Amino acid sequence: MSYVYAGYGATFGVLALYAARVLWRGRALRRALPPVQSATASPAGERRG
Amino acid sequence: MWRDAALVAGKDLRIEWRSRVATNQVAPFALLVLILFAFALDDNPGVLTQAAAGLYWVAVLFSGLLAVQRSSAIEAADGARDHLRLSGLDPAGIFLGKAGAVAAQLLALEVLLAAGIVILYNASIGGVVLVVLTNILATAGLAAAGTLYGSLAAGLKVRETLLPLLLLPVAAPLLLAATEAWQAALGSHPGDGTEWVNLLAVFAIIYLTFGVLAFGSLLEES
Amino acid sequence: MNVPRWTTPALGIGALAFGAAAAVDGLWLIGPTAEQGQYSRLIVVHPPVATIAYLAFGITAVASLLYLWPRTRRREWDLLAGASAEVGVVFCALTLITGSIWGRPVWGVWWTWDARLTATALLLALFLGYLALRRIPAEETVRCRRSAVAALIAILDVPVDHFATTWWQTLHQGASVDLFQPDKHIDTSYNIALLLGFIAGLLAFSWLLIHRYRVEQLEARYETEGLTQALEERRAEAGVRVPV
Repeated sequence: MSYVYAGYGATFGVLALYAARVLWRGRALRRALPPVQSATASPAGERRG
Repeated sequence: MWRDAALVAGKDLRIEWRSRVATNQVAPFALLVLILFAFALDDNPGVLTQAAAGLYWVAVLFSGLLAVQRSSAIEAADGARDHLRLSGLDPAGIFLGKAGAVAAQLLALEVLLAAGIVILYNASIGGVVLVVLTNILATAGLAAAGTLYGSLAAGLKVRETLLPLLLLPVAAPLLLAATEAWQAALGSHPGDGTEWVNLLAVFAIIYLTFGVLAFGSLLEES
Repeated sequence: MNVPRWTTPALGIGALAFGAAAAVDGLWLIGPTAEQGQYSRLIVVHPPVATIAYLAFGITAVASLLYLWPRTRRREWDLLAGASAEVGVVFCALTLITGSIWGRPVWGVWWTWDARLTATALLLALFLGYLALRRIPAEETVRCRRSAVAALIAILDVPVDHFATTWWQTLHQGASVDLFQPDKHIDTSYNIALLLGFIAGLLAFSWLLIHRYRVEQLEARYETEGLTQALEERRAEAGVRVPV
């Protein structure tokens, strides 16, 4: 049964860690970049939402 | 397309002939790999003979890596890629030519290595037709995949480490099938190896097709 | 991406909810099976992550194709391909991890070189190579084009992996679920648990993909704008030190 817990734990754990990493990278990049000039045409890609 | 292929193959092989890299460096390296395997496994002499097919193909793969590195390095110097692009040759032909040159060098190395395992590992090559067929198809697949990935890694300083990382997973199925077929030929496995030869044929066709289709757009970059 | 603001949080909450439901169902509500005892419970995690990995790599392949096709070529497809590939690699690694954990008690080994496992390991290696290719120091179009070609070759392993259990003799079992006859191999309570796992996985994947895509967009912006800004800051610094 410990193998079962290990399997579930690994799955949820790895996904949670990865999610945290993605969110952290997003936050770091947003901090490092100048704010989007929403009045002018938006740069390649970044749209609302 | 075929004429362009022959032209490019001839150029690469002539460069090779004049610089003798394959004969002076790659062939000794290949033999050295065989010898190192023998050192690593020598405690039990039967092991080498049993593992001969696999060790042979690993040695071929490593040598193939070097040959492919060399093939793409030829174009890296002096903006040769641009010259190739502007020359008006058919990109598919260029691909087939380069792959063909690599294949020719590989086949020569394979013959040498085959002699090596017969002598050094006490292997006895029974099914000659199977062996010849396997080697032709596996070499075609390796040369095609190698040339294709060589161009993916071309012109970069990280090429030496990137190319093996990209190429080895793609070459792995070829290695697997060729080893199985050879094991049948060397008599260490029952069966006639035809299913593996079929698999090799499929892969060779896939990699050649990809190369022919994709090489044009890869060459086009600035 | 122009979707309403509430979609990503909704996906996230949905993933957590279904994830919890799947875990509760898998760990407590369903009972052990005759064939594998408690270990069958891993059906809630292992097949879903494997299928999602296929899906993720499939998206990468389609996006790569769209990028290569001149008429549909847009940077967005390259960004999507990259984002989906990274999430796919995470799920593929999870497939191997959960599979190994499942294999140890049931087969007695952590690993074996049968066709299914080998093909999956190869798949991971192929897309790790793809991710490495995306980081090469080269011009944008060069990087995007080469990565796209690499993705299209790598995706060939997915059908091989999927059909490996039918084409070859494998230690790995064949399909447990027949879409047309759901009760053929496993019973209903397990079907439901498996379904919960799939839904949770799909929602989690969607959430992760959207966020990872946004990071990819930001990195693309950082490449162009961020560099300019850094240069200006450097010039401003130098301007302060050097008397004009």
